[in-house]
Amino acid sequence: MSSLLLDPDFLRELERLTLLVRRRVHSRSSGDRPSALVGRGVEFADYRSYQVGDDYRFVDWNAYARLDRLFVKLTTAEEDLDVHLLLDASASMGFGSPTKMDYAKQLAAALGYISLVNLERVGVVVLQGHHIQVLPPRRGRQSAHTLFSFLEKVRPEGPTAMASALADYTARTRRRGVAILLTDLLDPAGYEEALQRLRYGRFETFLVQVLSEEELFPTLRGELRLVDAETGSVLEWTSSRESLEAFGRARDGFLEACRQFCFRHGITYLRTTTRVPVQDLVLRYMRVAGLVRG
Amino acid sequence: MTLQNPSALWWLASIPFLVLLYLLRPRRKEVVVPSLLLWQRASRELEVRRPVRRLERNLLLLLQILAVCAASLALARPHLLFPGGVGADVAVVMDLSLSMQARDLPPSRFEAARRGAQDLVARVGPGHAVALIGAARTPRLIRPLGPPSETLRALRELEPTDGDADLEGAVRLARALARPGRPLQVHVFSDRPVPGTVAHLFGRGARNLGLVEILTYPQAPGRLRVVLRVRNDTSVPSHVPLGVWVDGKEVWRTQVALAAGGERVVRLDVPEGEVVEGRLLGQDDLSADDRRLTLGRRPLPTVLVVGHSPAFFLEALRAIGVPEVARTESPDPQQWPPSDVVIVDRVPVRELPPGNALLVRVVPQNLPVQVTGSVRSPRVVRFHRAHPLLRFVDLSELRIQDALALNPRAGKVLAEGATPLVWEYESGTHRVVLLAFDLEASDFGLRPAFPIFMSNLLDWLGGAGRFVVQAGEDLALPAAGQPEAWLDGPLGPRRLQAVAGLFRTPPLDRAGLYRLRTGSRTVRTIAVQPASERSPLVPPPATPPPPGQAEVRAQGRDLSRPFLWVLLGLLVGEWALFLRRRGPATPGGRR
Repeated sequence: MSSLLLDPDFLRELERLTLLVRRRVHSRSSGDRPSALVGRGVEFADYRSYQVGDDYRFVDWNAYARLDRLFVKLTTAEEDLDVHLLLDASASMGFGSPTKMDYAKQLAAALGYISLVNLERVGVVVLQGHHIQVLPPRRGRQSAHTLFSFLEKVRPEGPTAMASALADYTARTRRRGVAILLTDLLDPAGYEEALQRLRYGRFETFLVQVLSEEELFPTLRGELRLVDAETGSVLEWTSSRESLEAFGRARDGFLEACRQFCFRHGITYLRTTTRVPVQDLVLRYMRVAGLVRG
Repeated sequence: MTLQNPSALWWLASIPFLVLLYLLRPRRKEVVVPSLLLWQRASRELEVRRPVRRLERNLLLLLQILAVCAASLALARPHLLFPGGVGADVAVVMDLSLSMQARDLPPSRFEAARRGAQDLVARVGPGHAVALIGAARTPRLIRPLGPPSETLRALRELEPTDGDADLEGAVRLARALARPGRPLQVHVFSDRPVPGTVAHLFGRGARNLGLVEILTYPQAPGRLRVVLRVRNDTSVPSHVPLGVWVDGKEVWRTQVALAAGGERVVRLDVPEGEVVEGRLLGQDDLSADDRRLTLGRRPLPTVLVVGHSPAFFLEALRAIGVPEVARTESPDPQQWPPSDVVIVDRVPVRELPPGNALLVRVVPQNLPVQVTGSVRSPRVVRFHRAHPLLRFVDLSELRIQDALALNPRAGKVLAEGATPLVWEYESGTHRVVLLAFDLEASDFGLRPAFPIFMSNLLDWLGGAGRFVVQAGEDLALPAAGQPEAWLDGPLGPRRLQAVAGLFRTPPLDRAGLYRLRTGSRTVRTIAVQPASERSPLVPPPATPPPPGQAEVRAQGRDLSRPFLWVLLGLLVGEWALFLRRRGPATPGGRR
């Protein structure tokens, strides 16, 4: 397996990894992930007292013989995991060196490959303004090529409107599972509603915020006319020590607010910059953050 | 505070351009950023502090304006004056008269005055100009307002004359030099004060005996009558030897007794000669007036009388010995025969041709004098006794029936009552004496002074070729077709170029005998006599200077350097503010 996005050595490294999902998932097909539904599987989970209406097949007669009481045996079902890779492809993702888009595509390919290797269903959703492009969920290592090809074609353009795009997607899909959102969160309308949509849709949500060093620590000088790449809005800016300090405060406040929001809403949050190699991010930092294991 | 280079203040005119540039700030550089989200949040925070930022930006402009001001002032070379120097433009009037050669202040009054003037000029504050005016027989602008160094150089080359000094005229000339809006102090270095000026008086009281007059008259054939007037300007009686030389040969000598402050007139007959010289042989503090010469033989000029002249007029001319008197009644100068002197008696001549003329109650249009009416029974209130025209002429009791009311624009009034009565005028083409009254309507012609006046008149108007003039005068002599001539005399040989048909001599400052020659032929002989006015050898006490003319004594301090330091400080402040505005390489924050 080779790809323009990921080199073969890195792919081999990825094959040893597994996505770490904290919550039980509910899926339509059986797999090897613990299901949120109890009673359909074969793996013993617990006992409980018999209640009227329980299926006699699950009564533990040996326990009845010993204790003269009726107990029902509970088992856990094992289902497939659906992994939704949500990729922000707005124009703002086209900045940085390498661009945030390239970085996010590499990261999505890596996470998707990990999931496919572990026989999980992987789908890709590209968020571009109010529209979405969807690669339907598919399973198996053989789907990696399709995944990579789809990702390579993604180009950053248009504004960011994650909330409406995700609302559209969550309404469209019935499959729940893990949603890994790769974005810079630079949405003028705010990121909160978008993340809430995923949460309300019962997705186990991972947020990877991809930023570039240039936008975190700008080196702009003099009298400037800043033009928004997405909206074309203009802001006159006089670069001075004081103004750059104000920018630093705004940046820090924004990032801290993102972290706090994710913490409060049970969203696993990881922030990275394009300067951090994707290999390091996946093999080291994602392990530390508890997104992957292996 | 004064400015040595005020023109540098023109740099202040750049301030409006600075403000304009500030208003027309450079076009902002356009930069595309991924999102304005964070920038807008930072901008909202900065909005709160906008007044401070505006003030900071204005402070930058203010610093720039102050820097321009400091630079301009530094280039203008400001000087602070405090007691010790002169804080205004200065006009130095040096008395060049004969009396300044008195040696009662060794080596002479003039040298002492020169040192005083040099000291004053050296103390003139930077940024102020100094002019030098020589008060000679006619005021001379020796150095217009300019740097003190040039005036010091001119002062070193300045020499006194043997003539008298028109100090009042020199002061008027000095005051006319004042620049608009700039105060001007007029300092007079003399042995007599001039009202309205800062007087620097030099002299302690000199012992002087002077030969103040010498005249010759033709006597018996081959003889000359010589009249000598000797004056004792000291406060003690004195005996002094007096001698007469004719053509360099001593012909007479005697001892003259003079009372304190008195005069003595000596008359004697001597053999006829070209140059007659009288000498006082005693020692005193002023030697320049101990020797005086005149011309012995007086070939009088040819005279043309235009009009009906009274009989006493012609009698006077005949008595003087005028060899030829032509007459005409034509008012047209084209029809006048050539002559050395023209006397126009009440004939209405519109344009007076170039030359020498006596005008009697007639005013041609080409002279700078106007007739404004007539005056009845005018009385002579003042007349200029020292003028060569009125030498030995007393006009005090003159009776005049009526006279023209003259309003001269140039020239010199020699006698006046309510209006000028006798006026003389010299220009490059004319030498004119104007009597405002009719000789037949006055008793002037009947007075003994009249032939003397006519004699002086013919002497002054030039005559045929011999002049007796006062030291300090300059002459314009007819070139008679010659392109150049040489003037030999006490000043050394001088080459004269003919300009407009005239040879113009430099001021004849030294008394003595001058000869104008073309080639080897002498065409004019000029006897230059020293001043004959009573020299103020005991100077009066100095009068206090008028308000506003008081000398400010100060010493200057150059303020250019402090202004340069201020400029440097402003530039450093500007740089610091600029760096503060630019900020560090990256904004502070957590990575």
